[in-house]
Amino acid sequence: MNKFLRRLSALVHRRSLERQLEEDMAAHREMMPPDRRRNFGNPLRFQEEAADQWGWTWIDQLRQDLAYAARQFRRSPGFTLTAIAVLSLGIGVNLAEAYIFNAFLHRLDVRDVDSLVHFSRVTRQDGTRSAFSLPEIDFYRRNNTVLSAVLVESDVRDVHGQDSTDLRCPLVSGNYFTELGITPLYGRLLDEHDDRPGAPPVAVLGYDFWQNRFGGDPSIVLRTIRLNERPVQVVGIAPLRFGGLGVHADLWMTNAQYAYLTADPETGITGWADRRSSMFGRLKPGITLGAAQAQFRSLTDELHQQQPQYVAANAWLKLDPVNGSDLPTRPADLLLLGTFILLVLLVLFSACANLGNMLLARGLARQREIEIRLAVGAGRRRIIRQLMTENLLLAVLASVAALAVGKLAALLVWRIAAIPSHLRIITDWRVLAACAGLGLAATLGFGFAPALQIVKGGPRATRARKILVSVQVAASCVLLILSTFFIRAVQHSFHTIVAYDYSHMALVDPSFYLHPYAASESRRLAGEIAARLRQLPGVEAAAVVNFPPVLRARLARNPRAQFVVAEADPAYFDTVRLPLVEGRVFAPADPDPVVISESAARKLWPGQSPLGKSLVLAQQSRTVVGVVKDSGMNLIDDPESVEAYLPVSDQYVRFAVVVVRTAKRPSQLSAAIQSAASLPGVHPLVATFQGLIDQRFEGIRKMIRIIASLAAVATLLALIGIFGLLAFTVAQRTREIGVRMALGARAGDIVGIVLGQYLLPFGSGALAGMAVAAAAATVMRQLVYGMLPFDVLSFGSGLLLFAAVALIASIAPVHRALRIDPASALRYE
Amino acid sequence: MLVLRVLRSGPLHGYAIAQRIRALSDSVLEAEEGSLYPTLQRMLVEGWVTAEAGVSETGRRVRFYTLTSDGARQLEREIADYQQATAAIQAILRTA
Repeated sequence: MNKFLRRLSALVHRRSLERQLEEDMAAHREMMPPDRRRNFGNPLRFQEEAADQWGWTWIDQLRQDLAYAARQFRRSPGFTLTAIAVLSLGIGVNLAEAYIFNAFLHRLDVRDVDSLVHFSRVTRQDGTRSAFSLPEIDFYRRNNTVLSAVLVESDVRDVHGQDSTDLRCPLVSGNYFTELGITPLYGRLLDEHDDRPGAPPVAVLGYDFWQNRFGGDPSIVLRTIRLNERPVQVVGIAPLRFGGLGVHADLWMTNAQYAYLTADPETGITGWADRRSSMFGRLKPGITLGAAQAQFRSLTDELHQQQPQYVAANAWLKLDPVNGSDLPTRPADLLLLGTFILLVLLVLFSACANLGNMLLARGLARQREIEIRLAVGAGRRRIIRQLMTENLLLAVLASVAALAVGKLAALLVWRIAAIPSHLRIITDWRVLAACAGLGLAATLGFGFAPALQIVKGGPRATRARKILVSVQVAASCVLLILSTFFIRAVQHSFHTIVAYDYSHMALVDPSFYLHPYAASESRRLAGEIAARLRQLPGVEAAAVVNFPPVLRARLARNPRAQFVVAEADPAYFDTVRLPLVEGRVFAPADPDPVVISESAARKLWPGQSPLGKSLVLAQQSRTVVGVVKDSGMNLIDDPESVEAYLPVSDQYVRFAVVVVRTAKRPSQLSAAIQSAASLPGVHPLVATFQGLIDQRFEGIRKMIRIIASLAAVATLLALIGIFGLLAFTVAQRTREIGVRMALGARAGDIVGIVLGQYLLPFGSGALAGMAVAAAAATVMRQLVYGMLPFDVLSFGSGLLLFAAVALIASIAPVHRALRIDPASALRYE
Repeated sequence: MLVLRVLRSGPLHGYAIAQRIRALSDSVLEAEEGSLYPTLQRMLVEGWVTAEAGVSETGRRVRFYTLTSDGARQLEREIADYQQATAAIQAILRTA
C-alpha cells in the first residue's frame, strides 16, 4: 500500500524527480576523476531505466501512441469518419436498447422506492396471482406489524369517457399519492377523505391523458367530465414523472367510487371473491423482505382459518421489491428478451466485422510503415499495442458519437411505440457504463485480429477478410429475413385465415352492464337497436351477439378442447357471412342447442357427423344442431382454439353487442350508426372491426418497425462492407486485371476475378444467417403470436433483398474493374 | 546488497556510495557507476532508502540516501540468503 502511494507521488512529482536524478548524475560525473569518467556509462539510458523503476513509463508511451494515432487519423479523415460512423451505429443501437431497459427498470420516481413491495399470492392450484380482494387486503393491513403502509390499486376495465374511448382508470386507496410522495401539478391529489363511502366522485388526471385529451389546459381542474356517462369532478393533475404504480393510468379515482362508476349488480369490488386489486406495501425501516414474508405467511394461515372458502390452505404471499419488478421472470419471456438482445447485438457484430475489414485493408496499405518500424527495432508487442491504442481511440470517439446515436434511436423507438411520457430516456451512469463496456468490447472485437494480422502479414489476411465479410452477410441476412418474415406474416396470414368479411363490419356496444337493467330489459333494448340499425340506409344486416371476436372473449374448457364461446342471434351467421356447413342454425324451440365450428367437429368427432351429438359446455349438456366454417378470428390468440355458438342467454345479455354489416366502408357510416343506435340513457360505442383488428396488431406492428430499422442499419453496414471489400480487391489487383485484359480476358472473366473469391463467404454467410433467422423466428413465433405460419417465401424474399443489396454494392467496383485500361494499369504504382 | 550495506554506516550521496563500494571491494567490482542510479530508484520505490536534498563536498546540490528500517531488514535477509548460498556452494566444493 505504501509502495503504491510512493509510486503515485512519483507520478505527481515526475518532472522534479527526473531533474534531481539528472543533477545527481551530473554531480557524480563531476566528482569522478577525469580519467575514469568514461566508466560512468550512458546517463540517458540510466535515466530511462530509473524511470522504469517507478512503473509509469506506460503513461508516456500511451501518450506517444495517442498522439501518433491522432496524427494518423488526421491524415486520413475519410477512413476515420467512416469508421466512427460504422462503429457508432453498431454501438448506438445497443446503447438505445440500454437506454430503453434503463427507462423501464427505473420507471418509478416515487419516495423511497426501495422500501416498496408488491404482493402476490402463490397457491398450488393457480400458481402465482397478484389480484386480491379488498377485504383480504384490509385484513392484512390491520394485522401486520411489518408495513408502515398498504397501498391498493384496482385495475378496473370498461371505463370510458365522453368520446367513448376506453380509459385506464385504476381505483386506488386514499393513501396512495401521499404515501408515494407525489405532489400535484395542478389542483390536489386523492386523499383519505375521497376513499370514504359516500364521498363525492372526484378524479385525478394523468399527465399524458391531460395533455392529449385536454390539451394541457389547467382550467380543467374543478370542471366536471363524464365517465361511463356519470359526472365526475376533476380535482387535480398528476405530475409528468408519475404514471402509476402497477398500471399506467389515464386517470385515478378511489376504490370507494367503484359502485358509482359501474352499476353492474353482479360484479363488485368489495366482496371476498372479488379479486380485482393489486396490493403494495411499504416496509418499516429495518424490516427485511424475508421477515415480512414470514409474517405474511402466518397471517395467510390465519386468514385461511377464518375464510376457508376463499383462502386455500396452502396459499402463501410472495413479496417482491417494486423496483425491478418489471424484469421478466418467466423463462419464455427471458428467451424472447434474449433473442431480441441477440438480434441487436448482431448489428454490433456486423459493425465490428465491417471495421475489422477496413482496418485490415488499411493495415495492408501500412505494411511498409510497419515493416520499417520493425526493422529499426520496434518489438511486435509494442507495435500491436500501438495499433490497439489507435483502435481504442477510434472506439472512444465512436462511443461518444454512439451516445448521441443511441439516445436518438431510443427516442425514435419511444415515438414508434408511443411509450408513456413518464418513462424518460436519461443518460445516467448505467448507460455510460454500458457505453464504455460496449466500446471496449468493440475495440477487442474489431481490432485485435487485424492488429495481429498486420504485424504478422502474409496471405492469412485475405482469409480473415473473407470470414469477416461472411459475418456481415450473416448478420444482415438474419435481420432482413426476420423483418420480411414478420411483415408478411402480419399482412398476409390474417387475411387468409379469417373467414369473416370483417372489412365491412362494425360493432355497436351499448354497454348495458353499466346500467342497472334487468336481463329482459337488456334483451329488449338490444333487439330494438338491431331493428333500428337494419332500417338505416347502407346497412345490410344486423344481429345481436355476446362476446364478439376481438372485442371480448369467453372461454369454456371441455375435457377435449378449449372453446371460444359466443352467444348469438340466429341472424348472426348470415350477418358476418359465416357459411353453414351442415345442419341448421338455432330455432326458438330448440332446447339447449349449440352450433360448433368445423375444427371443433373435427376435433371432437373425427370422421363423423356431429349433428344430434351432445356436448357438455359451461356445465350444461347441449345438442349440436349445426356446423359452421371456422371464423379464424380467435386464432390470433390461440391457434388450437375451436369455436362454439350458443343462443343469447339471460346471464350474459348485459354484454350484448350489435354487429352490423354495411354495403360500403363502415367508417363512413359510423356517425349515422351512432345516432341510430342511441336510446334515451344509452350512448353506444361504435367501432369498426378493422379498427379493432388494427389495435390488436398494434404491438406486433411496432415490433416489426423496430426489427425493420435494425435490419436497415445492418444492411447499410453490409452495403458499406461489401462495397469496401470489392473496391479494395479491385485496387489491389488492378495490375493483374490489366495484364489479363491485355491478354484478352473478357468482361465475364474480369467480373469472375473480382467476385469469384467472395462467393463462398457470401454463400456461407447467407446460410448461417438463414439458420439463425429460423431459430429466432421459431422462438418469436411460439411466444408472441402462435398464428404466424412458417413460410419459405419470406425467407426467400429476405435473401433476395440481400442479394439486391449486394448487387448494388458491387456495381461501382465491378464497373471500375471493367474500365481498367491495360496500358495504364501496367504503369500503376 | 552492497549498496544497502554501504548505507548502513550513514547517509551518503551517489558518488560516495560508488566510491565506498569500489574501495571496499578493492576495485574488484568495477561496473558502470551510473547503473547505481536505477538501483537507487528501485530502492526508493521499495521503501528501503529515503532521499534528502543536501550539498556535496564540491558544492553541488545532490541527494543523500538514508537506509530505512525496512531497508535494514532487507539487508539482513539478503545477507542471510547470501551466506546460506555460499555455505551451500562451499559444502559442495569441499565434498566434490
